[in-house]
Amino acid sequence: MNKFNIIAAILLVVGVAIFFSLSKDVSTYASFSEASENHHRVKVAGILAKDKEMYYNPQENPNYFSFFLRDPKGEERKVVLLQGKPQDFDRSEQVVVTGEMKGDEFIANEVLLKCPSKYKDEEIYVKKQI
Amino acid sequence: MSPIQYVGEHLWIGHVIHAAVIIGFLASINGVYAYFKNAKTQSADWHRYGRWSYLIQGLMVVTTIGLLFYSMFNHYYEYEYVRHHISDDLKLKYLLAAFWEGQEGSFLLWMFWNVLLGLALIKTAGRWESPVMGLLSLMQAFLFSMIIGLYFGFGEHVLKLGSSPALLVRETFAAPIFQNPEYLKLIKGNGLNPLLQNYWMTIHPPTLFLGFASTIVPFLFAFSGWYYKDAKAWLKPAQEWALFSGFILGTGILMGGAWAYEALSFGGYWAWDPVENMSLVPWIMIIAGLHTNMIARATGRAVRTTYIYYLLAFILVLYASYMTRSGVLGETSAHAFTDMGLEWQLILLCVSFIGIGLYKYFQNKSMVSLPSDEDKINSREYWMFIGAMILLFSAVLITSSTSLPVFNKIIKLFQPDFKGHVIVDSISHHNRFQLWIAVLVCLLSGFAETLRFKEGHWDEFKSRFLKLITISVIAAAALYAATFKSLDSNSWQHLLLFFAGIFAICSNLTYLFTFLRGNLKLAGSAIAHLGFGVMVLGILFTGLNKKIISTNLFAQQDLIDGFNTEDYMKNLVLIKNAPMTIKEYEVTYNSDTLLDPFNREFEIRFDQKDAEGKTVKSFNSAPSLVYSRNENQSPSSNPSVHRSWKQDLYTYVNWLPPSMMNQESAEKSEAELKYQNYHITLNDTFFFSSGYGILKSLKNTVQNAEYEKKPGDGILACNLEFHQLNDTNTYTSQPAIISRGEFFYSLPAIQNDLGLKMKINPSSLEMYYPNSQDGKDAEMKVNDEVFIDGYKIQFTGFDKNPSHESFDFHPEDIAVAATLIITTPEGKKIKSEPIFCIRKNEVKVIPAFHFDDQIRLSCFKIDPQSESISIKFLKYNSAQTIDLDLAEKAPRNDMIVIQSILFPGINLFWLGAITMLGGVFISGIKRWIKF
Repeated sequence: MNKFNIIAAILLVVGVAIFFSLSKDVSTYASFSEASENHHRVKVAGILAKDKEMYYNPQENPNYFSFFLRDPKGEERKVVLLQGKPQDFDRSEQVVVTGEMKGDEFIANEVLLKCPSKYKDEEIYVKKQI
Repeated sequence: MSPIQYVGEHLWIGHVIHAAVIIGFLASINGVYAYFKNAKTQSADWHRYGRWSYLIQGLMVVTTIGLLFYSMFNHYYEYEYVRHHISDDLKLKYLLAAFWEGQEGSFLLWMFWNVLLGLALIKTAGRWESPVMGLLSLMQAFLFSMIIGLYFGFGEHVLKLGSSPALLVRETFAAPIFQNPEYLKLIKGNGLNPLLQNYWMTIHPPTLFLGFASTIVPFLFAFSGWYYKDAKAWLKPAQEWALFSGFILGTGILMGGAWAYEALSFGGYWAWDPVENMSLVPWIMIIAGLHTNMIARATGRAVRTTYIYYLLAFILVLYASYMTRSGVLGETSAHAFTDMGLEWQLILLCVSFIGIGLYKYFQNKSMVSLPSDEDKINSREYWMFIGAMILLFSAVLITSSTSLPVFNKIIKLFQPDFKGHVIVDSISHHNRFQLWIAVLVCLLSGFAETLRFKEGHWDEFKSRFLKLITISVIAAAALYAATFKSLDSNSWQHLLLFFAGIFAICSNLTYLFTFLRGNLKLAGSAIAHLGFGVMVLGILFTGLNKKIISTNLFAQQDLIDGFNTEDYMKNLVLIKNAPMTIKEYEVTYNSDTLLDPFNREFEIRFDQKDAEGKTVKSFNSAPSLVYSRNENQSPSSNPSVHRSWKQDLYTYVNWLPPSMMNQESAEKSEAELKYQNYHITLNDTFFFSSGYGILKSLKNTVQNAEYEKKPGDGILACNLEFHQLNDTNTYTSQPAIISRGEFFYSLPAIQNDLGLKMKINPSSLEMYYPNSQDGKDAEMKVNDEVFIDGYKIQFTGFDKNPSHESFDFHPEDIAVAATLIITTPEGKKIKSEPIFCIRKNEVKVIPAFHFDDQIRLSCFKIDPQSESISIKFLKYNSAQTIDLDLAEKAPRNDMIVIQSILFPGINLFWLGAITMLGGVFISGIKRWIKF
């Protein structure tokens, strides 16, 4: 099937082209300092700073939730999430946010939480003694 | 130390499961050997041996499933799988969902389907039986190894083979509780993830897994064809099974979309999550293989391609298992399984079948003779082949992007400091590329259908072909011109896809009615492609015209540049009974009800208004929350979908006050309040920073949904009135406190408009409900009178059928009320009926309270012989005061945040997808049952 080899070749070229165009879609997990340098949309994976303030006041603005995140380099920044406060946020430890730096704040509109409890429950629940 | 003798365990189940899995594993390996021996020697003995092996392993699968199910049904929490997935309060209808929630259960489900598929194949495969069943037995052996749970020690290294579903809790955890031989009485089940407590979870996983399991069958026939060096005959059964697999797997995926749409709150049916992607690609490959299979049967071309495509479809299922079960997806997927240490086994499974498939392919690929003539560009097979290639291309693209975490992992092996790449916005990434696949599929399917296989009379056929295509193009253009404005997008790519979808619909309809003259028997492919076109339109409408209507008009518009307004206009705050206007709707949060301890349903009313503000349509939306058994975990939010033929209105609760969220948040929020104590007297005024309050009255009744009356409860409630400076409104609150035995329960009140939270301090209770030992005793007979502290008490008789507002009588109770008349020193007469009750040799004394007069009267003994009673009378003196704890700046508890999304054309999506699968179904029926 000779003609198909040609088509296959075309598809291959397109595929390679797509592969190289991927760099726009793909990024590494950035640290906050990297994010402030390049001003692109990036993902930052970090640990929720539970000792710092988490602010959500729906009456004031239901689409504004802020918290502090510590990136793998140990840098802690304020993250503003343009969403409501995700349920179970207080229990999560690892947080992945997608967005960009604006000044000192990381503005995110996407968040993924890894709750230690959600899919593996390493606790045994003991019946309450009544 | 002697081993602890645990009480109440059902260890035999675990032993039988272990034995069954090992026997099943060995029987499967036997099956592989016997069947391949038979394939070589064609001996009846080996054949029988192979079949028996398969039957035995099938029996072992059923035994394992039966016993695991039995222990889940009976809540045998000594088993980790049971404890992890079941809880006492889990409804029976979710037992199946709980069964396949975990990895072991889903492996068993897969094996179960393999058993049934194997039985069907034994019955129907005929001369292909040996290689088909031999390879299927190998697959079963691999699956058995995943749940075998054996450990091999190599020095310091422990090699784990499989994860057993019969593992005991005490083998999994090292906890002090296992020092207690009766630990079983203490542990409780973990329960099913609330997200999975949905009826779709009963049918979606088994359908999907039947789809996954069945992808092996077309490959089995391809393999057998190669095995016997028969390039032709295998194509027929392979095609039949590919139709079956395509239909079932497609249905399973669609059900998953329906579940996501109804139960998850990301607002859609598809999110390009790795788990979704990896279930889609095998289906795409099955469909691609189906197309080349048809070419092969019609023309003798593309036989090798068909083999490769079917192999790929099956390998992708194995690869998907590796991706979702090995933990490699990590933080990129919201719903993969957790790692269970099966990674190397899953890799081995993939590699083995890739090896077997490719080895056989290259060994015998020269058996396929290539046709000598050139492909004709005007033949159907030419364009079908291109179509199948495009499907392959689509699968490769999706798989590559989704495999990014796998690539990262491989690079990290060589370069430990490699940081790893991740796709930033996977939805737009996949949509951008798959859009072109959809355009090509629509256009190709539109006209290739009209062509004929092995075109030999093109000159005669040409005019007819052109006529059909012209009709289709004109119809599509007209329809496009009439409707393209309804799409909320000007991007030419979207408009192109829109046209392509319409063209697919028009051309396939034209084909259906002119070529086939409505003959449904042959119409399978046309219907499937027609459905695809409709589905594409549905995807465009739901994706582009989707409107988040829950925008808050007062949100700061100029918050941050670079983010479109949609980013921060998604949520709406609703306060109970306060209507909000959004777009053409007036939305009111009416109520929330706790249906059962784990289910809270909200009632949100939508009134659709016309231009003059008149209500044209009203409906209720009832999103709900499912609480987890773990009271510290937040509930999961179940959306509510109001359906209409044009669009769906999809609503879910996105945030709720901490007090409804979970124990931890409630406590945290409570701890942040600063209470101030006020000692207040009836009708007196007390001041706090933003206003003043008045204690209007005290009562001994309370109406509170959270309070369930129990016998002997003492209630203290009060009516408070609040005023604010510069505000003529009066605000009221009714806090209460209950004394029950040695405990007290506070029923705090929240005055949301003023941000006040108040509780009656327990010290107030002591004044009103003095210790029950206090009081003066007297013994009385009927018609006796006594005077205590200036009160005259007359005993007038018994009431044999007493009633009490808060006492819950049992049928076996022997209860009598003594009827007494109390006359106060002021001359007021009070009828008092203290109750004396015997329940199973236990005496219950239910005193009568006369709250206004501060009197308590109880009857603590009845002598049936002399018909006399012993009473205890107490007059307690206290001022009409209470201690009130009041906190200001309390958060509202009558406020929720919702998200409401309009999905126009969602029904086009479902209709299209169902039509497409219906087309596959019709083709399948035609092949399976000749009619």
